[in-house]
Amino acid sequence: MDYATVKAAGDAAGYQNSVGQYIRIEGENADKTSSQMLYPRQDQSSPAVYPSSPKVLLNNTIGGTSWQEAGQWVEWSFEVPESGYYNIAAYCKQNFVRGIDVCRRISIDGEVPFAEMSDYGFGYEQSWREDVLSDEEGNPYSFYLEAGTHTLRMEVVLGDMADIISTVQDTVQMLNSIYRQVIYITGVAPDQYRDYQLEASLPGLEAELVEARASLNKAIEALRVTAGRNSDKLTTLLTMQDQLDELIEDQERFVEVLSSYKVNVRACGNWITQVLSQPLQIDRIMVYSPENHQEIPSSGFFSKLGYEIQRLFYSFIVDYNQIGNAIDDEEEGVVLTLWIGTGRDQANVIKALIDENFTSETGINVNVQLVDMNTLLRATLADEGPDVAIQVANTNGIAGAVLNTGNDTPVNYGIRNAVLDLTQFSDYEEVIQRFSESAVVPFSFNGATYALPDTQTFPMMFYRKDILAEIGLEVPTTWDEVKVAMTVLAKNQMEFGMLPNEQTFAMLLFQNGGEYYSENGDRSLLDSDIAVATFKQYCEYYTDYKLDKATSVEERFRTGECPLIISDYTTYNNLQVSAPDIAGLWDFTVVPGVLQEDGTILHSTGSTGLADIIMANTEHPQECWEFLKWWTDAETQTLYGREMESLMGASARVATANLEALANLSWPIKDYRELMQQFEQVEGIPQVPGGYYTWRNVNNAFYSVTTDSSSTGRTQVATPREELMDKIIYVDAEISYKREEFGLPVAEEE
Amino acid sequence: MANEAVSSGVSQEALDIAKKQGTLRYQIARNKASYFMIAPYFILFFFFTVLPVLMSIALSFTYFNMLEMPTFVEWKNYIKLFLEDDIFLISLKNTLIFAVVTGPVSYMLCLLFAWIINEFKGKLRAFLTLIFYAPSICGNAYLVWNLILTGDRYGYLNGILLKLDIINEPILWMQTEKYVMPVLIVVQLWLSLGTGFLSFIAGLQTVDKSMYEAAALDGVKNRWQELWYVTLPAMKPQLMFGAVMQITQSFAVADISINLAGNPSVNYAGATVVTHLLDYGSTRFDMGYASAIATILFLLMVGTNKLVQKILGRVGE
Repeated sequence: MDYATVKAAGDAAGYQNSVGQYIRIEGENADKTSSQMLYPRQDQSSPAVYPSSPKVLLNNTIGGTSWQEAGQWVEWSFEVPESGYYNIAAYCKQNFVRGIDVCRRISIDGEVPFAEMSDYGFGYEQSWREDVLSDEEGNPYSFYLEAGTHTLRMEVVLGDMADIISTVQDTVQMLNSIYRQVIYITGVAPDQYRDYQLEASLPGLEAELVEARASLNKAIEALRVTAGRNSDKLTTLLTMQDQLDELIEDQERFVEVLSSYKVNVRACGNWITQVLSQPLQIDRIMVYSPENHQEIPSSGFFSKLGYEIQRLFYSFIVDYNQIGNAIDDEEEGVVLTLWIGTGRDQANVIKALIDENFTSETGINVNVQLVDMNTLLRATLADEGPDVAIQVANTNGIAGAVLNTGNDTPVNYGIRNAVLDLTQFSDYEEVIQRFSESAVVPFSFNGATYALPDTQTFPMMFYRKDILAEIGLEVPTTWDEVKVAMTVLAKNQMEFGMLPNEQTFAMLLFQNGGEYYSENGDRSLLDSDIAVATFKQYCEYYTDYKLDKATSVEERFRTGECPLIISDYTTYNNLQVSAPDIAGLWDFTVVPGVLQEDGTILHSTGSTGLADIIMANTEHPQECWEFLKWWTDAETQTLYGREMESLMGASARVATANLEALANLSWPIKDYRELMQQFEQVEGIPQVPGGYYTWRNVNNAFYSVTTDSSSTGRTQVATPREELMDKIIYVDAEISYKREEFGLPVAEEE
Repeated sequence: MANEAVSSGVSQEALDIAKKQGTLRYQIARNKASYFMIAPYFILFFFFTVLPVLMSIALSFTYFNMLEMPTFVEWKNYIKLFLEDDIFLISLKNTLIFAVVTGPVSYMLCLLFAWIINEFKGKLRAFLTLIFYAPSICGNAYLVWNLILTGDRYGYLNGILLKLDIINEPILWMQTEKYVMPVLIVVQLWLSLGTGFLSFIAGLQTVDKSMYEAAALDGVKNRWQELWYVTLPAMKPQLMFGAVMQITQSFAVADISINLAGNPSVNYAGATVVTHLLDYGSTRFDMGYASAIATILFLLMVGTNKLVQKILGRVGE
């Protein structure tokens, strides 16, 4: 029933406007929500939001970017003193999505009062604004409410957008398939001066183009109707449509516009992701008598100005590093200082977990501080350092960049006596069982272990099911099969995606049975026959097989240019979230391996991850150990992982090193099995004093070999064996030098 | 003696006063106000520039891994630096190439541009000055070169060259030894139109106009002669300032090398003295050695400065 009918019925029943009522519902005091992700948020952008403070962050709103998926709802309950007609308004912010309205289904007491409320739209505006629920002409709707308690629920709905989105999704599928057919003939970079005769080779092409265009047009028309005006959300689709018109007229144009075609199709894919999300942030909802409309206090220019000046002033005083409350007084019990190396979201979650589960049970207080880990070294020197530091990456990196190279920080700090050796604690043996043996390898040296693993990641192979099916290729399981696959891919103008980095080299080395260093770490074993053969193989991929050395393999995976790639397993999470145009069309599995004598295939890879360390100058080593034990146990890691995922979505899934916790995270069963299959064959990359020299020199040798001989000015092509052996001499020298420094026995000269 | 003084017409009293006025203490007390005025700058300068240099020289004689107290090792660091360190030689070579090429070239470019822009008036001049000065004020503006020089076949430079059929395969610009130095030199030139340029413009403005007239009367025939005989000598202080700035800049090149070519760069192609120093200081935990490198660099820079000043002293003769 629409509004007019309902209103008429109400008037007929003798309902009157209520008088003088003004009920305010604070958005953050929601009664119920549909998911854990919808909890009160802090907003400091305006003094009109209630409650507001220029100094501290207050929970004053609800929603925002976490309230965006269809089906999520928030419900409030409120008291109405007098029966009658009321108007409803919301003080809200929708500065997330331009060009279309963000829709909500508004229901009172479980029922949608009239048809217009089943998908009410909130348009884009840069800052907080009051939105009175009204019709297109601006007349506020009247809601009849009896005296008593009521509930108001707002649910995210796609409304009219749902059909449009599904039409566009189908169109994108069609366009992708056309693209692949065309590059089968022309390759990804077609020759401008050649006539490929596409119409003759692909007779069905025009028909497919026409069909795609018709489907796209349907979506565009529907969007015009819904969005009401020429919104900028139409631009992407219109651009695609124009290009399709061009191509329908003359298919040979593909040769010229191929790359912009690809870009446009990708833009349409992104369009879907953007349009699917409908965020809205609510500060308060006002239910009031029609004549009793009140202005929002503190929303004028001068109050904003005063507020911003205060905020500027406070920014000099407030300590943004400190998360949550800081406990100074030692009398209350032991106080630990914890430094976190990742980000603010992680720090907030960890602080909450600590307060709830750790401090309450052990009585140990923890001051959580979010600090740039590059300062860890200097802080330790100045005695201003923490007691414990978690999520520490390698010496020169930021937490996210540790994926492609080993983590050498714990061993480097440990041999210089800056972090504690954890084997001194009595229950160390028990605790270390929580992790895979390979995770602890990079953090151990000379019988001591200097850190507990926080995360652990390793490479896996990703493949495009649709493309491989089209070209009739099976997923390769050994490197010989990969070489065959590369020829098939090349015939179809595609490539195998594998970047030259430490993880790739380690994978090949371990599969061939090689080692990095000798037993006690006193010399490098990369000059052994196995290692040299591995290095030769590694270089071949980039010289004989001409794999691209600097590119984004994940991007190419998405466009279909590299249907087989080797990449870190966390790429799975990225693809899930940011590549909806290939959803369901890809999968991952163990990396290709080496056939062994007994018929099995060895799929080893290296691994790397973040570390948790206890600083040596702490006054409470035992309490620090208790904390680390608690932090790395299965329960805490599971809670942390689940919280991070609900907070930031599937792309923030934690690559925890605790095996039990990994099983508890929301991996689909099939994918989890693949992951575990690879995990069984993962090995750690060892770290030794002077070890930073190893990868540097292998990389130098690699570039000497793979760069064109003319560009290095050499008269002969560098051979892998010579280059590697040359460089390993440097590595051995550096290792010996460092060992001398620390009084360790140096390797004997041969 | 007193008798001599008395007989030469100067009283004993006057001698005493002269002696007292000669002492430093008296001089300082007399110029109290001036000392107070330079005190803030001087204190900061001392604590943040002079003191760290002295500490660095002191540290260069120790072994210091930054996590434990330093231990005295006398000349060991310097011996290793001069006799065993191959990479230091590469980095020194690179830095000198930088200094020799970008130093004078950029200096002359600055002067040329300043001279040309000086011909314009008012708003147009201000606008042109802004355009030339902009890259050096914009902080890390050179990061845009990373985007242009990416080794991906779809990167800007690679893409254009591939399309024009100048190359057949994408080139990894910053990982190919023979391209690293030329690229860094170009970027450094692009960045170096900085403070030197501004000071030249100021200098050109302050040249006394009547000097040009006098020179014309004395037989100066064209703009070049005017430049050499009138403008440049009148601008000597600015030339000196500009020279000092350019020298320091070109010896201290490190940021662009680290951000474009990486640290360590492939086969140390982009290594300069400062990147080598940072490598030892932060990656290799050997601050004592890094301090030794810093001290050598300091001596090198001071020496070069003196040399440049001597050369500039002869401008206009």
